[in-house]
Amino acid sequence: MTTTYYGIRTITEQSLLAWFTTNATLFPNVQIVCGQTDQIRSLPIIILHAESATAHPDLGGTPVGNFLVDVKIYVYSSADDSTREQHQARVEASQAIMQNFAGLQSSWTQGGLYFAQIVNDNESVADRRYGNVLHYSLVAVYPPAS
Amino acid sequence: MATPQTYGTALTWALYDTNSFVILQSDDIAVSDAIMVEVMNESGVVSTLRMDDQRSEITLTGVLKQGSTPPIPTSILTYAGVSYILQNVTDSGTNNGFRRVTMKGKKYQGITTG
Repeated sequence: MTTTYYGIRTITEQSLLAWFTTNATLFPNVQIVCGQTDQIRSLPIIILHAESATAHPDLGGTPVGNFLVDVKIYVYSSADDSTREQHQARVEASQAIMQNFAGLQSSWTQGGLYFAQIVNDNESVADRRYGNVLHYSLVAVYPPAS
Repeated sequence: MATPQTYGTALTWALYDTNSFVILQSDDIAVSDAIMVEVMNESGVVSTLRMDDQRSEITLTGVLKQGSTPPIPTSILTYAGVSYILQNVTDSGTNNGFRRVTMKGKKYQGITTG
């Protein structure tokens, strides 16, 4: 018998990537990558990063594969080749995609997603880059034992 | 100078048992006697005590597993080898959390529940 191993942050990033790729027409010429990648990055870019995962606190000492996952979606554009309006459109499209919870849930690759909630949207400008960080809180579970 | 304590004392940790339809979060077991008769002597001092009709009351709280339904009052719930008659079941949820089920039951001395 082989044992299957899972990583909730990996599942989360791959699922988000699948959902964003499904909606890629909303992001023409935008690179979409996971937080952990060896790809060469170029602007404009959207980085889907499952920053941390915590055993769900509601389950006390027996979390049984249920996690609270902190997700950061980084949207970066260069002021040299994008207008501020184009950058904002990318941010708004990212939020719209995440608000489609049923779609996100159906794109979940392994286990299940219960819940996704936006926590905040932070914006900054540096070195002629527009940057937004969309912070989401997700609750997800590993697949059951097979 | 006091000698450092290098020994440990093992204690009872967490819950006595598990449950098939919830992930148990807490248990609370209270045992009491319904009959408690005190007999006083001529001086008014209790000299005889009769306690009987013991019952064990349990309160279990857990998070409902997907696809499971909570039991209904009157059903029998076995926990840590004791079978209780469920008398109260609460199934509560919020829009951003797991569903919690609270079950209250009793085991009566004079009723065989299995």
